[in-house]
Order: sequence, then structure tokens, then C-alpha cells
Amino acid sequence: MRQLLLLLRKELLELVRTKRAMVLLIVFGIFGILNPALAKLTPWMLSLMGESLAEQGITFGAITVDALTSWTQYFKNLMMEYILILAMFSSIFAQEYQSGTLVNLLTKGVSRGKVALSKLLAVQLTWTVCYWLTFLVTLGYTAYFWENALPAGIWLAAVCAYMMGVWLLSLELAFASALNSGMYALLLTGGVFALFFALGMLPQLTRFLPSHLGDGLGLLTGDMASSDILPALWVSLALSATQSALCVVGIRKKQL
Amino acid sequence: MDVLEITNLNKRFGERTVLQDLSLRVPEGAIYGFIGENGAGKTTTMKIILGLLAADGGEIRICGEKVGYGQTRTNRFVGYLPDVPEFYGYLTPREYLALCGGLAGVSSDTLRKRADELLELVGLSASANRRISGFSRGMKQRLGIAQALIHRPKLLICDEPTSALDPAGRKDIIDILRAIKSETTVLFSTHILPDIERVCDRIGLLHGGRLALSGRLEEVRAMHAKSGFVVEFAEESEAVTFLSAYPGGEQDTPSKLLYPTGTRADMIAAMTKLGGMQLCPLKIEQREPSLESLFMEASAE
Repeated sequence: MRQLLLLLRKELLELVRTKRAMVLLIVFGIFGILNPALAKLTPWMLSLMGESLAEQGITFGAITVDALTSWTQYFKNLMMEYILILAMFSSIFAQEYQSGTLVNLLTKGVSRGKVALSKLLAVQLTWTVCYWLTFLVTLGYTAYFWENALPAGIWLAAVCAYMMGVWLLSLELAFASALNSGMYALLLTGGVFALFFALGMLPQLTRFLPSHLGDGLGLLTGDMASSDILPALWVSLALSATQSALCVVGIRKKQL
Repeated sequence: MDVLEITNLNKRFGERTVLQDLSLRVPEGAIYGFIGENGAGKTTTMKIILGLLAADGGEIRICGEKVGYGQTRTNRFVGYLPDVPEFYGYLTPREYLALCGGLAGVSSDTLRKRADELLELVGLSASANRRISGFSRGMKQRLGIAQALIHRPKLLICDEPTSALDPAGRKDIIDILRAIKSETTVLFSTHILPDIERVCDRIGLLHGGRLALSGRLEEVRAMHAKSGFVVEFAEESEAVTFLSAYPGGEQDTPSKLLYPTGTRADMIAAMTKLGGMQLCPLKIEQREPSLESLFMEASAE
């Protein structure tokens, strides 16, 4: 346990000292502000463009903006959050493999599994903090501007979107622990996501696919029932556990 | 007692055989020079000892315990200094030693004292709280020794610790190895032979995947001892003049004379002759097999 805590501390210290933690917190904080801000500014922007659009024959009725508009924006921006966090951690194993920094630690008798586990924990912990930071900032501003800041279904939708990040990160780390290149790990993760996304074309499969966990907006609007998304949540949990185990296998097989 | 016992170790990379029935013993308290040309298999051997690489056959025991690939319990007996040790640049030496010591199971109470001791030993006390990212290669090598010794290992394995360093850096490392001799057994791989002569008491020469030569340094030298003596002059003309006055030798180089069968008495006679002729050589010495000649001899076989 002491070894795992020491390794986890090292990972977190790396995030802080290399300024990556700061960058992530700032960007995810900005995401949080952006969601309600965009919703708030939408009527103003449309009125700016209104005249020129009217000349082309496009006219608007009265635009109502409410808490739901802000949450719509939140779910639209999720993809950027996933890409950012995946890009940030794609080289977490490769940089150690390439520079040989793990050799000193492993020759102290540390098991490779603990090294993998410390990285998995550090990455998921970072994602948890970043994701819920964006959520809370969005929630705060939404509550400030509009009533009913927490529409029915928001918690389940938010947890599902969070789990999609957990699933994607554990998938990326499973690739990363077996490869010497962060870029390949990122591309393969993108490839698997695209594959799941393509499978989603079959309507009977959609509710089981973790790639659709970010589509929870329907829960807020009433277009979707919780039974439409819960199976995918369980699948994402099972896959995340399996992929984390594969990440440990990957580092064990790695020749250093 | 032998700290390290290697018995009939085999390793192949594809078609290429790197180690072939390699057997080697390192007794407690030795500084063992592990010599071999580039690509002879020194690093491969060390990686197998550390459990970083799987062997194809044979057995390794450290302090009597068998070494296995991957799960490396025996590493608690071992300190390892890679040829180019790499560190986390965002940590300070003190933090890095605390990490390594903690991972190796050193208790928190003793860790700080031990880290200070080692930083003093390797001459990094003044930089103990600076980030490692700004360190020179020599400083990193010295920190590498400190991290390898943090848990007081029974066996210190150094993979070409001096190869990448300038003469001053090399001297520092050799001095540190000498200083820790009483504390730990050292296995020291290199192809820089003067370093071996300065610090090692035993050698093993790896060639063709097995030990071509091994034993105590002086014994190995004695086994390959050569008779004769050498006289070296500053000028070729002096060498020629002396050779004609004192025959029986040959010109090894234009200004260097070799008397291959010369005895001790012959050498004294030669010195008397030199005095009589008012000739002052650069040096006159009994022939001793240099490690270099042993190396070349064994490598040529």
C-alpha cells in the first residue's frame, strides 16, 4: 500500500509541477463558464445577425433561453472535454518507456502492476476533478441566471457522461501501457470509439453502447427514459474494469 | 559466500546467441569488473539478473534466492545503476531518494538520514533541493549511485557507469565505488580498462557469450605474465645507438626497445650500460601484461 501511495503521489506531483494540472483546471473551468455564457448570449448574437438574415428572408420568432439551453450547450461541449483529457494523458506510459525512468523504480522491487495502477488512479482522479468542476461551474452560473437549474434527469445524464470519460481513459491507458507511442494509443482509442459509434447505427444496440453515454440530454427533455441509457452505463463499468486489468497486463508484458 | 551465482545462463535474440552457458560467481565484498567488447552481452546479463529480461535457460541466485523474470523479489538485495540513469526532472534529488527509498521499503525515520548521507557521499549536498532537470550528466550519474544505494543493497550493479563521462567525472565515480567497498559487493561492467585496474579486485571477461577469462586481477595477470623488459627513448637515434651497444632486443616502435627474454639481471646490466653511455631513457620497465593485452588476446581467440 505504501508503494502505491508513493507512486500515486509521484504522478500527482508530476501533474502539478509540469503545470498540466493548472492548464486542465483553467480549461475545464472555462468550459464550465462557456456553457451558460453561450446560452445567455444566444439572443443577443441572433439579434446582431438578425438584420442581415432578415434580408435573406430568414426571420426569428421570440427566442426563449432557459436553464435547459445552458445544459444543451453543456452536452454539446462534452466531446471537446474527452479529446482534451485523452490527449493530455496519451503519453503517460510512453514517456516513461522511452526515457527509461521506470527502470530505477522497478529495480527497487516495485511490481509493475502497482505502477500501472498508480497511473490509472491518477488519470481517473484528474478526470473526476476536471469533469465535476465543469459541471459545478455550469450549474452555478445556470442557477444564477435562470430558475430550475437542475431539471429532472440531469444527475443521471451527468453521471453517464462522466462514465463515458472513465471508459475512454481506461481504454486509452490499456493501449498506452502496451505501446511505445502516445500518438498510437490516442489513435487506437479514437478508432475503437468510431467503431462503437458505427455500431450505434443499429437502433437495437444503441442503448448498450458506452459511446452514446454523452447523449443524455434526452433525459432532460423527456425524449429518453432512463432505461434507454442505463444498460450502456453498466457496460461502461464492466469495460472500464476489464480495460484497467488489460492495462496491468500490458505493462507486465512490456520488455524494458 | 557468493552474493551472485550465475549458472549456465543462456539467452538468444532471434537467431543470435548472446549468452551461452555463462557461469559466474561474485563473492561477498568483491568489486568485480565485468569486461567485454560492445555487444558482448554485459547489459543483457545485468538485465536478466535484475529480472527485466527473461533468460532462455540457466539459473541466477542472489544471496541464495532464485531470480525470476518480471516479479523481482530478489531486487531488494540489489542496487542498480543503469549506464545512462534517467530521472524525473521535476523532482529534487532529496525527493527522488525519498521516493526510491520508500519504494524499496526503507522506513521513513531512517530515510531522511540515509538520503543526506548519500548526497554527501556523492557530492550533491549543495544541490539537494534543486530540480534534477538542470543537472549535468556527471551529476545524474552520481545521483544514480545514490539511488542505487538508498536501501543498503548487498549487491550494487553498475552498467558502464563511467563510459559517458569526462575524465573528472570518471574519477568521481571510481572514488565513490572505492568508498563504498566496505558496505557492498559491486558488479561493475565496462569496456574502459584503466577504470577496472583502478578499482576492481576481480575480473571476468565476457567473450562469445561466456567467460573467456576470470579470477582475481593479480592472479589473472600472473597467469599471463610475460618475461622481458622495455626501454623507451625520446629519440629514435638514441634507441638505435643503445641497441647496437646492448644487443638482444628488437625495436618495438622506432624509439622503443623490447628485450623479450631479458631477465632481472639483464635489466640491471642494461641500466648500468645506460649510465655508462650517459643515455637517459624516458622509461625502463619490466613487462607486465596490461589488461588491454589480455583483453585483446582473449577477444581474438
